[in-house]
Amino acid sequence: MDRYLTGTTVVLVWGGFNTILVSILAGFTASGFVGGAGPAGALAFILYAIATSVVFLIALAVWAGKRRRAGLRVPPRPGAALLLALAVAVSWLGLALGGWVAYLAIAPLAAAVILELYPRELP
Amino acid sequence: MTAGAKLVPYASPADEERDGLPQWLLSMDHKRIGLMTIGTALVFFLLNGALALTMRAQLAQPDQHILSPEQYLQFMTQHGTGMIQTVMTPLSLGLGVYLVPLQVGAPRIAAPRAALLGYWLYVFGGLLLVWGFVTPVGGATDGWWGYTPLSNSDYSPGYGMSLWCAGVFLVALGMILQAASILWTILRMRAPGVTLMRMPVFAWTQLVNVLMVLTGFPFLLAAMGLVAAERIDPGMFTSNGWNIGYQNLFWFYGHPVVYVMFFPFVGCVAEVLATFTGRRFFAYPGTVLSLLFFAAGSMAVWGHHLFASGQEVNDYFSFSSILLTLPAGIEYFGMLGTLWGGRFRYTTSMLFALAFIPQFLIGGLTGILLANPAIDYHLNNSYFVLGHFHYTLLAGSFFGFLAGFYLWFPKATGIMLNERLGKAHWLLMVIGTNTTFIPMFLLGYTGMPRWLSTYPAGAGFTTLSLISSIGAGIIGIAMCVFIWNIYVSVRARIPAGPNPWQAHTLEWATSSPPPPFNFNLTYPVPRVRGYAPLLDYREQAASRRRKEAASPRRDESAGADGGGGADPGQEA
Repeated sequence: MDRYLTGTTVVLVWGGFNTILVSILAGFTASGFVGGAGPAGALAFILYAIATSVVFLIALAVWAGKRRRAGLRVPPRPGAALLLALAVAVSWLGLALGGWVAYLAIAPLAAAVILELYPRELP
Repeated sequence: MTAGAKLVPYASPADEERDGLPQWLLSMDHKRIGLMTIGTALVFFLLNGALALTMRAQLAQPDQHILSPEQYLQFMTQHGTGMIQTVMTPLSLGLGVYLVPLQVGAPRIAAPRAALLGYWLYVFGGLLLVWGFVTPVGGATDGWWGYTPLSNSDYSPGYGMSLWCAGVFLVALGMILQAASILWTILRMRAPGVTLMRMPVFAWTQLVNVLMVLTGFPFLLAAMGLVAAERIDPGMFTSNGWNIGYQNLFWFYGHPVVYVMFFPFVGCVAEVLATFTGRRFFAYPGTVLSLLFFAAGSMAVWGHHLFASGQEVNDYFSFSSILLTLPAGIEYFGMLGTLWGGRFRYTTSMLFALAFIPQFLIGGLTGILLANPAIDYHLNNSYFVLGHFHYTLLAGSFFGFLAGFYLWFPKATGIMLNERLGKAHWLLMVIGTNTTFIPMFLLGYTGMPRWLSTYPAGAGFTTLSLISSIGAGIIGIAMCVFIWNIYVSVRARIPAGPNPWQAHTLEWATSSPPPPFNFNLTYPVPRVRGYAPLLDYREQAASRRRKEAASPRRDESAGADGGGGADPGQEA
């Protein structure tokens, strides 16, 4: 069993279970059960079908991804992660405090990009 | 992240051992990111728990006005959103970030910058939620779901609701990034010999957990996009179709998140039961398969939250919800089978795990009732529903978390927690939890609606509400004992050693706390032959000792294969 149960197959099995459940939902929707005949019933099916498609995309990514032996290597410049998070947060503040606030996000975003492009290697 | 990014090695592991605040806050060591995520979630737990205590104080007696109706709605919204978005979900994924690389023998987490970015998005999101709550112009009042059109800027003026929307978006995005890191670690960074069927049950629960996050949470981002659009232009989506569409989008995230807040804690309980009974987890393959099916089914039940809307395929969602009893039953079977014939050690961790089993069962069984549309019409929006999901989240998942916390605290810190205070914490939690939430079932059945900021004296809710409020106070005291226990234990600093519990999984083969990159020459990744590798070692060692006792002359050749030694962690 170990031999066949790879990362890709696990995600595919999960996608398969979801496909079965989506198919049953399609049957219920098409049969006109309560609420199923209207646009909301179709929407429920579409949402679930999209999510199930995402599962198969994940399976594809897992299959395509190389088996990485990372060893003792870690990426440098962790500050860029913090700055990027700050930029995203400030940009969302624009929704609450006015559109001009979102422009303030340019500063941390630019700093994050500079840190990425011109890294100073760790000692 | 960009073309300029490249991987470079650290000069030495000592870089990861520096203990200054900047080293912690910007660390890409999964252990630190995990601990920061869990620590931040516990701070948010205390904040949101205090809100719950205030609400229970208001409801302890009829006609009380500690909070105005408006403030009560704000407290309720922040409590619900905060507990789900900033407490239970981050606890669930934070445990994964900390433990999964250790359990699969990986030196680090995949995409550590994504995990760190996820943490900071979560922190900023949580802060925006709190800011939205304390803002003088009025916090969000629309519940943790923020239904449109109530959440648009016409019906919810002020920027509190906008901050709520921003906070939820950021936290969800952060959790997606951490989930992706965990998924890739499990699928692509396992140590040689650690096949998927040799992973601990906890790692499996994390695997299905992050699959649900990656497929369910993007819909919350879309839902928050809709709320944001309605905040900018409240007339943008006015038709009923849009409103039902929003509810579908939200609940497509909103039900899977219930299981995101559940599976990893089942994993915690599974590890605790196996450790403190000295047995392998029972029916492991069946449990793994049931977890996969359970997680898939969890994606197919969101519509039961919309039974009363009349706009959903009720028959399907009732069928799919009740179908979940099948995998849930298999998992319970596995837990009970592990207990059967075990040599029990009643540590605090084990007591929390044992309490989890019946308490979560109550939450699950009442969920089956609510999965029946006919019963749901009667109980919808009543205190019965509150009792149900608090039994699943607090009496179930949070107890599972505490079981895991008491199990892995010595591993993460190298310090033992005080068992006497731990047992006092457990006892108070059990009493407080059941005293708080059992009356809610009765209140709901007799007609007390949710969101009620106060009630008249003759409504018949007084006695049960008072009992429930007393229980909430006991939970508050229990959490004080918990914090005191951590304080006392950290001051006492009783060293834990690599494997103080004689546990079975790989993280116990390394030091406590684990070194940078998890394993090293002193603590190498041991050979893995099953899903309880250290138990395998101990059993082989015992078998070898029995053979040596039977034939003492042959003991010179024993152990030559390197596979029958003592527990690797203890040996080191």
